[in-house]
Amino acid sequence: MIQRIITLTILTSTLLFVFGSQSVSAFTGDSCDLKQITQVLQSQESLHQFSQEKHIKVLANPLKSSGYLLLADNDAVVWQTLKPIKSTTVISELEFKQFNKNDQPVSMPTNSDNQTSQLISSTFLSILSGNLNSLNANFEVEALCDQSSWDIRLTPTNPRIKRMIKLIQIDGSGHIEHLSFSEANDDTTKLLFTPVSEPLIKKQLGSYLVD
Amino acid sequence: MSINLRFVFWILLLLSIGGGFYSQLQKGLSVETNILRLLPTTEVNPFAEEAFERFSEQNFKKVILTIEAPTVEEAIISSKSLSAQLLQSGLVSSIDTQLSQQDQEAIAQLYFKHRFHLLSDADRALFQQQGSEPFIDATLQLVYSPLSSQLISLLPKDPYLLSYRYLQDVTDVSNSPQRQLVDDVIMYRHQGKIYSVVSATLQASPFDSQAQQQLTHQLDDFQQDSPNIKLLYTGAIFYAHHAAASAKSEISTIGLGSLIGVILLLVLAFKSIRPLVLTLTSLGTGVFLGFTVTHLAFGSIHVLTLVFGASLIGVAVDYSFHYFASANESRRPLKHILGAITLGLVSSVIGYAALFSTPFPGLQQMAVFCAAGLIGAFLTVTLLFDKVNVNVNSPKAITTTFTFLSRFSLTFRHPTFLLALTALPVIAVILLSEVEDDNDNIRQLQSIPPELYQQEQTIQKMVASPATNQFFVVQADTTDELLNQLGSLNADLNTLVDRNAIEGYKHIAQFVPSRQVQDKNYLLLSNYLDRQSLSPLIELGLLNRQQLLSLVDNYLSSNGNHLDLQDWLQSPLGQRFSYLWLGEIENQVAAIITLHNIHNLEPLETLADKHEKLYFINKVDKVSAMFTEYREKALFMLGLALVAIFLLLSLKYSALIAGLILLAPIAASSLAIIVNILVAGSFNLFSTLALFLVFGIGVDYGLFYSESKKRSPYIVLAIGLSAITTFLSFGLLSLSQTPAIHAFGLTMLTGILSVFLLSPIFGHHIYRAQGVLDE
Repeated sequence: MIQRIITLTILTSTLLFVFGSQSVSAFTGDSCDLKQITQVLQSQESLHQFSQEKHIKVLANPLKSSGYLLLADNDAVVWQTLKPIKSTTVISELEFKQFNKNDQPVSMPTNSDNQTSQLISSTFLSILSGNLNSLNANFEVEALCDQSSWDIRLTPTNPRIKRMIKLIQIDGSGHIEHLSFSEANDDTTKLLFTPVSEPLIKKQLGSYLVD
Repeated sequence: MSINLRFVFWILLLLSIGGGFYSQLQKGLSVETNILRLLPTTEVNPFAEEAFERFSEQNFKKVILTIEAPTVEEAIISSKSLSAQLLQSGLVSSIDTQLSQQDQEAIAQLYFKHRFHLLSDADRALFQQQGSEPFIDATLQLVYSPLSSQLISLLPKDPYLLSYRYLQDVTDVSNSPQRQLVDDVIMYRHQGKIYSVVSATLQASPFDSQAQQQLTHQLDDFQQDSPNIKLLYTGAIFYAHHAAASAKSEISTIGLGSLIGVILLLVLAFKSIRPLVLTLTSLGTGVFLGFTVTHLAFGSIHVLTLVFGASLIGVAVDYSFHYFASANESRRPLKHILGAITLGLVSSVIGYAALFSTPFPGLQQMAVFCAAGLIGAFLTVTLLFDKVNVNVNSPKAITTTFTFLSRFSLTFRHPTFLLALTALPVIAVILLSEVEDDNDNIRQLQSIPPELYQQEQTIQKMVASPATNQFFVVQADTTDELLNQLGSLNADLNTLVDRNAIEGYKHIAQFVPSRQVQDKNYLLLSNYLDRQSLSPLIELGLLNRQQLLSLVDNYLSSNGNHLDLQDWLQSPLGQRFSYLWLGEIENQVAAIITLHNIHNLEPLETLADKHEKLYFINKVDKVSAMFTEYREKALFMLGLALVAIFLLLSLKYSALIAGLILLAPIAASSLAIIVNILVAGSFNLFSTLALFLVFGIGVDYGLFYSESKKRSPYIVLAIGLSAITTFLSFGLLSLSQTPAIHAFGLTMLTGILSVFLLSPIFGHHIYRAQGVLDE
């Protein structure tokens, strides 16, 4: 029973999002509410290409990676890193699965044990799938909009999230363009998304959702 | 001996009992409620016995509390406040489900410090088969995962994340899929309900009645203060509390019930206050002597001995009844009855001596208590009673009633009826041979309240707590040899899991491998700390030149830096699992392998047979098997006692009369056996014990007849009164919640009723054999 607890220390650190802190764009629009943005995002493209850059204090160089992101209909996302190493993560409300470069399931730091990690993975899911409304529960939300684009700043109000994340910034237009996280210890992660239409890749990623 | 001299002896007797009691009082009287203290040692090997004792001592101190709450938040708040209250009360020494931040860091640091020596079996195999590649992949996967981690900062010092992986393996040792950890609280979702779990170790012994009361009060208060939640709990202390409480109430109901019965009968039958006072004195002296001698001999007295002992009243009162019934006819009745009651006492003591010869502490205690108690009552009758002048005049109505009853029985006095009775023992033996051994289950010794049992079941279904009565013990000369043995058993244990004989196991070598294994791990790693093995990490900038150099330095300087068992035991993790380590027993070191959810015992026994220093401890089954053995042994001893009493009586009377005296209790016992098996479906050790009493009392009745020189209605009176008190005390015993005592009471009821109904018939034949004329 106790052994599980030890994982907590590690898990809490394991699941930190280490997203970037620099502001994404110097956007100046009018304040608006999440409902409008959520509506816009309903019709976004389901497949995106992403590139990720992590700045970690102990490392001299940023960690760069890239791959694809599939937003599935049933509120699940498939995140596949292709460079520098292939790995695939499936996140849904119910599960969190990871596969290695040979597509074998791995039990690396999972978060099924921990409410904090669940909170964070559901936050991640909400943002990526465009269900921004649900973020109000755990964050103080500042949203600015103009005719074509929007910009959101999320400051955690939930103490569990607060222990790990300082700030989340998202901006976009018809789809999410940038996402950045800054962690409590100042490590940062910056993500850039580009919608793409590649039916074959879409099928491939979709296959991870089928058991 | 003159009346006054006898009185002096009685006073001396009382003074010496008082002296003995006082000396015990000085040392402290102790009433034992631990059921295990009643049991004989089951292990041939004293080592295994000692191992069981150490393990159960630790295990008995565990309590598991679960809180069923409507929301997760409420479950968390409640379990935190419960933990705090328990710690504050001083009732528990630690909350085992809580590890502070500090504790967690200490554990992580301990494993990090020894990372070059620790590999799980799976990881060692992975290195051997595939080299460093899978480890590099896992590291990279982690680093580039969108949900990344602070583990990255560990990479320069532990590029394969070995400390993390080993810790992960340790935490997977017992894993339950429904378990969640929320805010440092262990949570379960079970059948759509939310539970949080607090497990704690008690400060005091679970058999300490003060601790029992305090804990139950505290939990009751907690439940009352938080109406939204439902508190479930399990642990030895709750069962012990219930057993002690029900034993206490049973002692008082049975003791008080038979006492009131005796008082009423005495007042009704002898219409005088003196017989009452004298009888109570005789009973009091008997109980006093029984208690003192038992406590003196065993250092404590078990609460179940007292329950059985309370029923002693029903037998001890016979002497008084016989005395006062006879006092109807004679002013000095002792000389008329001395032979009968002396022989009665001797035959009862022979029976108890047989009981005492079983190597069963519980039975020995009861035998000592009853024998001493009877002797005390007997001595009071013989030494004291004549000192007090008693004029007894039993009311005609009562003697007529009993005479009528005995006349009724006499309608069956035809010799063919006696012949038919001899068929009863044959039927009884046939039925006995078909009784399943299962009815000797040890659990009969304990009354298990259904709601406690229900709670335990619910908790067990969620929390995979180790089986408390079935486990392996491993023995070795040195700690390291022990760890080695434990480690080498993993393959066999995993096979047991694969075959679904058990669902899991736990031992210390899963947390601390032996030095030999640690050295092997260390050497294996030397192949994978070079530039080439780590090149993917170096190329990606996760590890630089300088860091690689100091990594190698670190590795080299930690040669021989083993994770030591003692260090682990002192860590917060080791403290929680200290029950797995038994320490030194008889110049050997020993450890436990706990088993979870055992489905099949046979392969476990086979495994233990295969290894010389591996023992499978199976207390419940062993004790139950032993109960069966003792049931058979006790029946055999009863047979022997019967032969001894027969020979003794044959010397005094003729073989025919001796046979007639014994045939009544034999027939009655056989009838009791038959009724028990046909009605209750079982006949266990405790019913067998009751037969000893049926015999003692039955022989008494026969002797009352054979010692009398003429047909007297007062013998029928004495027997009738005695039978009624016995019904009273044992009838109450059959109401006991403890199955063992219930069985005992039921056998007594049927046995004594038969003996009572048969005794006039045998009395008639005894009279005829002795040439006493019909009225």
